[in-house]
Amino acid sequence: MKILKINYYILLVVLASSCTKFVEIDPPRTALERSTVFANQETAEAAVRGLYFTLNGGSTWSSFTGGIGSITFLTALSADETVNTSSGATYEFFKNNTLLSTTSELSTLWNKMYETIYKANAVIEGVNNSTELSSELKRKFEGEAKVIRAFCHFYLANLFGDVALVLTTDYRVNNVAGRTAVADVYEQVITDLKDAQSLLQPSYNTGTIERVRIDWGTATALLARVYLYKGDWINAEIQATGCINAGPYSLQSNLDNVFLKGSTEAIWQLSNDKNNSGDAIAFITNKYVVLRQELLNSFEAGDKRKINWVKGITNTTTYCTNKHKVASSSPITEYQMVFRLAEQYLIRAEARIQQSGKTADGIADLNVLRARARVTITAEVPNPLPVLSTTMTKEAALAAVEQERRIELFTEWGHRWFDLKRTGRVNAVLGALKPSWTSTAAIYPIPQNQLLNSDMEQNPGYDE
Amino acid sequence: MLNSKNKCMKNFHTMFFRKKHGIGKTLLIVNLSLILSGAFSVLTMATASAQSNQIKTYTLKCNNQTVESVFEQLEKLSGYSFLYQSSDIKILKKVTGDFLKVPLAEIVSYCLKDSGLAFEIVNKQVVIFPASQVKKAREQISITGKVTNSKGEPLSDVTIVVKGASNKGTTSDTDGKYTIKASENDILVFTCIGYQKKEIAVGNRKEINVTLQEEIAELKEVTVNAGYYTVKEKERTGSISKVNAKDIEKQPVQNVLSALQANVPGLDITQQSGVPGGSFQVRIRGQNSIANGNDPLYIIDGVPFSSTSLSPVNNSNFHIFLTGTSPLNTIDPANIESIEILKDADATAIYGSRGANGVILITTKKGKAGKTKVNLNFYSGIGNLTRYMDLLNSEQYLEMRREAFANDGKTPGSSDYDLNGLWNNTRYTDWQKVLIGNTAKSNDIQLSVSGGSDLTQFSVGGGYHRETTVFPGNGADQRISTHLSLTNTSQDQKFRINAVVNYSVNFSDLINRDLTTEALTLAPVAPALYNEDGTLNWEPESSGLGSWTNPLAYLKGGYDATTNSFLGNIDVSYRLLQNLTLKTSIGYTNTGMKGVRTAPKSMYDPYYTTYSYYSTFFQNNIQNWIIEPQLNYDVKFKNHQSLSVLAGATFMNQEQQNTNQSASGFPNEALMKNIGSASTITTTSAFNQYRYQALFGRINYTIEKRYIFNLTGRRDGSSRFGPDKQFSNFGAVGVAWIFSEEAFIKKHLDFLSFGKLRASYGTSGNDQIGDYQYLDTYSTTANNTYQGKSALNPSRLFNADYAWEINKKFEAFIEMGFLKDRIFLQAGYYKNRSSSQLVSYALAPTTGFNSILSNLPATVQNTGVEIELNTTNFQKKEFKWNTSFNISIPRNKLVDFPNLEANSSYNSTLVIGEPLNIRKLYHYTGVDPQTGLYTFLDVDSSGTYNSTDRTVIKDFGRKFFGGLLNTLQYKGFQLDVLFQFVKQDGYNYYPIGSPGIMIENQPTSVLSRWKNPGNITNIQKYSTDSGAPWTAYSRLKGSDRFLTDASYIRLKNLSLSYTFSEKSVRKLHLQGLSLYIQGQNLLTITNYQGLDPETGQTTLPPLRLITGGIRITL
Repeated sequence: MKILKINYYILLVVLASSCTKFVEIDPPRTALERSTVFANQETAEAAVRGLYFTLNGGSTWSSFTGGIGSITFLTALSADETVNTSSGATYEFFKNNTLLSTTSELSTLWNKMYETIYKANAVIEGVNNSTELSSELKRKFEGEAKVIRAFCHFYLANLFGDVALVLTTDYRVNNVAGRTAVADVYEQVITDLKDAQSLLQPSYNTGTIERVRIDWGTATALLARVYLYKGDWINAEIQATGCINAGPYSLQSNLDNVFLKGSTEAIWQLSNDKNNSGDAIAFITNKYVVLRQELLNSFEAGDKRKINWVKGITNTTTYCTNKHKVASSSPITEYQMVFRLAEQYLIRAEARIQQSGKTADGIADLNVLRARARVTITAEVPNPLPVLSTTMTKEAALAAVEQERRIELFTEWGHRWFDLKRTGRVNAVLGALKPSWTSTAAIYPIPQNQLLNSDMEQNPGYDE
Repeated sequence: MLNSKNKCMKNFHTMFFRKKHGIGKTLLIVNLSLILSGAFSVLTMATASAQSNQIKTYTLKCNNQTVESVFEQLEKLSGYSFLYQSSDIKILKKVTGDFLKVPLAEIVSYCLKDSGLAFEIVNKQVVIFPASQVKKAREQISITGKVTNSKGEPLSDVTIVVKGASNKGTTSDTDGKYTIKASENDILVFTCIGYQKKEIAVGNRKEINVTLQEEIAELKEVTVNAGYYTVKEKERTGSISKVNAKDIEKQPVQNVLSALQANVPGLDITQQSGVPGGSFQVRIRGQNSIANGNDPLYIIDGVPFSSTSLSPVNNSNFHIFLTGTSPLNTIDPANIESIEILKDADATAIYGSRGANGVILITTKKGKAGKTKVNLNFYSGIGNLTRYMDLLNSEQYLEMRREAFANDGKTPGSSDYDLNGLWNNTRYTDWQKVLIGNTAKSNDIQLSVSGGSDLTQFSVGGGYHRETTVFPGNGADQRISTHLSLTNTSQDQKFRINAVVNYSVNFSDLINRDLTTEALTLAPVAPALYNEDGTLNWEPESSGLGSWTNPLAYLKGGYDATTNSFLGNIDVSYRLLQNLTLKTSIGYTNTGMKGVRTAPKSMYDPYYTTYSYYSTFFQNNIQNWIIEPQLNYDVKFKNHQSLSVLAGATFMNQEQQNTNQSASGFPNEALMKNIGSASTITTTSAFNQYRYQALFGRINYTIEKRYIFNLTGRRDGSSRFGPDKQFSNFGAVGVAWIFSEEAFIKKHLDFLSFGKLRASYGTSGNDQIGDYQYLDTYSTTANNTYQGKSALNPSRLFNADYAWEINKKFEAFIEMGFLKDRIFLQAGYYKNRSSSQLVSYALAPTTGFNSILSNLPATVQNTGVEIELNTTNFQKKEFKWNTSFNISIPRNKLVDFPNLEANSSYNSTLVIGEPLNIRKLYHYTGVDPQTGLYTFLDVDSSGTYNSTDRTVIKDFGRKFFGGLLNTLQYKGFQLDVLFQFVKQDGYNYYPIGSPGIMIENQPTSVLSRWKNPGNITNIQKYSTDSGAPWTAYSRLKGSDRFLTDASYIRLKNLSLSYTFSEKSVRKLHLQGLSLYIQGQNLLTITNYQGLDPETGQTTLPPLRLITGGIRITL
């Protein structure tokens, strides 16, 4: 009996000491620990690809960068570019500018952009803590992550007004992040982009057809846009010029080729391994929205952009955007365009006109775009898309810029919506067009889920 | 001496017999009758027995020793045990003498000289008793008698043996008669399967007629399974409720959880969907955890059974059951012998970290010794919806839509198909009838064979169950189940092995969508389902675009799922010493679900020509092994005390794997269930491992069968926590006092047949948080590529510092039986506090994620009162009436939450002092008589509505719930009527859109809408405006307007059966035959206006099932 007792005691001791071992399990087969990810070039590169994957959502159907629910898709409804064809309530809210904090597309946009920012911060931190990666790769990865972080902050500020500026992966900090004034958000965006310019190389002058990674040119293109939105005309012109003269970018003479993958006009495109662009699916396949008559009417006679980038659907009384043209999944010939050279001409045109004495240079930039969009003279169209006079007044020139931007950049990346807002024309234009327009509708409501879980206050004019 | 004997008689109930108390108990009865007869003659008895082994002699030296101590010495020397009434021995004079090689009987005889006591040596036992009993002691007489059941019918095949002499036995004949030889001191033991064992002392009788009680034992004699040990109902210190097979088989349900509803106090079960295979929410004593991990632990035959749903629930478009399928679907209710629900700290602490939310122990059927029995059970029935909503008819609907346009000064547009001439306005379809008004069919057949000898018992069975739904189409949910149980005990009773195997296969090919929403919202003027050529009608507009989503399109989508469930367990025990048993349980479960869901082109509007076919193949598997060695030590001390000690260990490993494959590029629709035909396949997969280790123990100490102390403890380790956080200790203490055993109670309160006070306090924990959560990881799937290469992404926000959630539980209960337990009441109070809340803490989206795992410094309290009353209202030979009533009154409260108001993610959903399940709502203030729009209380008069205006706090939890069961038996008839009652608030049905805004039907209540300025009403004006009227309606959904009393009383079950008498079935060469009709959810009494107050607004409610069946025993 005694011997037995001792044996059991020993058994229990053995059991107890084996406990710790027993409950220590292997790391999951499907995951890697963060420290190992950035200790290796292969996996660090995969983590950076993860950032791009997050941007395009892995699906062309809906991500904030393309397709249904994208910034392009929703802001086109909010502005005066598209109307919805079905009576589904959500699209009505965007079209009528009667958004609610509960509108799910808004929280999807918001969440996805902050998710992307988190991942960009994770890359920045991971790269900086890594002792194994070469300095060359570290610079490249950090530069890409910073442009993506700036890109998201830029769109958040333009859609929602004062937003949270998130620069760390620490959830304790980010969870209580308050609203930062748009001007301060812009300062950080500019800092990130300038860092990126110093970290990145211009990379697409090597003849590659893939322009799916951010390089020096992307940082510069976004920086030009930010300066423009800020009203810093001199810097906007400098950056836009830098981009235009960088070398790898040139306007496509054939408008049908602008949105092809590897288009020379592309500064940055997002590729998708399974599909063509999300915008083609959103605008061509599903016909959830069609172009507004007002937009169609604003094309001047003899503009190829109306011929090549607009398409009649079935009954030919309604038209849809036809910039990205291929909605089927294969073969993949188009990538989702994010930045393209034409916008840089428009930025420089406006920046020049706003500076005294440079109106003619600005008009010249506009004429570059008009020239390639002009059809051949025919009997029906004797004066297609006339060359703009370089001697017009500043006001007329700015009106010409607005018109040119409206036509060149329609249903792309919220340009029209943001232009109306930043030029102070939004109430006049949309107030005349939409009975339910209110001035507070120019800023989207902060999504309810954000309000519920933080101290953030709602934008004026909206329920929580 | 006489005086002292009388005195001892007064304290008779305190008398204590040493050793095998089972015998002691019966002897007690014998002795009592003999003593009461008052015959005290003095006699010294010489060695009477002639058994050979008594020749063995012993050497012993006694010097003024008590008789008791002499006996103790003799016990040690001889290995014989002494059985006596302690009070008889204590008064004997002390013994002095040298015994040199003296036979045992002579020593005993010497000790008992002049004592008035006699003795007998039987089976290595020395039994000492008053000498008056000696007369005729050895005389064998022939005893005859008749064995009957409680109805007075003769029982055949009853085994009758003389206790302690297993070779002396007989069985009763077909008339229940028997004859056996026995002596006056003998005890006859009557055993018969399905009846309680009965032991009767022969005494001076020659004819002994016996009535055996059926095995629905008195509550306090029932043994309950507490997991690692069993305890008598009477002696338990914790809260354990037991539900027997008999209670389960009355209900024609597919999932056993449904049969538990309303039967157990403290067990709150909500059916989530009326679709076969749908899930249940199960809560034992409320919600302890703020965010997740509130499911109880399920243990089937000693093996933990994962409560994780195997169906792919994450994708709401994917599967009909938004809440997943219930894993317990794979368990055939007919295989279940009993279910024990462990609720308090005393009962659950031995499960440590996993017992925080209570434990549900399921024990499957085991064989019983006796003649081999074949049981056959078959039932068949139909199911329907019990209630339909009152919705607008075509005329009312069109009036609403036209008025809406008129109010807005607008005319119907191109997409207003109901008004613009596209849809035939003379049509009327009652979509509830068409889509959810069909008849479901239910069939079930069970066959089992059981039997065995004293040493080996077996049970083998199989069953088939098929159930369809009320939706259109031919889909069904089917289950084939098999069961095997084998028990063997060695000849010397030392070694015992029990093996159990359960295997079931579940097939489901139901329509992959719940059509309830469509049934309630489709316009009554919506088009016909089919074209004349039999194809689906999409009623296209001129462009070719379909004007509606034909609800039968979902029938074109295929769904096929197979769930395999294997559960095996081996229990081996070996008695090392008389009091020490080593036991090991080894269990394995493997549950897997695989299936395919197809989305063929024919599901979609032909207008969308670019849709390509795709199928989703999924496979999900959980396997689990567990090894639990344990040691049991039982000892009884001479001073009326007993001790039971248990020590054990658990090693558990669980692995979950799942694979999802999305396939496209099939050559045609017919091949969509064949993955080999797909040209493109995208695969995602996951693998999780969970390891769990524990040491546990229990010490049970009983004094005089009245004072019981139960101490349990466990040290747990879980792989779900990071380094240094893996281990934690849990423990509990339970005490019970059976006060009805006290002399003063017995004397003064003789109407009280049983009385017990018990209380417990202890801790348990919670690790239900998913695996690997403490790791900061990056992961990828096949889909995650960029530039054609794999892309890694952070898996989650990580926090390595979280640790066990701690749950402290207290309870106090009283149990009382009156009038021989014909009235039995249990009532008690519990208070559980759960702190260091381990939750997926909701975060602001600015963190990039929605949540993070952490220990929230909050305390949640669950208190409640549970009352259970069982009464036997009539107990006559032919008519019996029993009533069981139970009620639970839970109260959930958030006690503490530091800085809740300041910066927490929870300040909009939680309020300190209120339950967790609250909602903060706007206060609805009526329809503005001028504008015709809904208005709300603007608390801060800001003109806008935000959280400060959400001042109405409503609790959506259950205020009280319970059941009332009446069982009436008259001759062969048995009628069971079970009512379920629930007191709660809930959301009434509300349509998606405000009245008139879209092509959506509305309840008839909207007819009383606002029409003209000055109207006072509760329904706003019809309007198509997505501006102010829609905003007002959106606020209405977040207001208290749709809140209603969702209480209900449901006739949950009605079962009427007729059992033919044994005599009459014998003519058919059967052992038993009964016919029955059963009904489930027959009637619901409620003020709730939607389809059902249990399942809520737009899910299929529990169906009314009516079945008829037959049960045959061969």
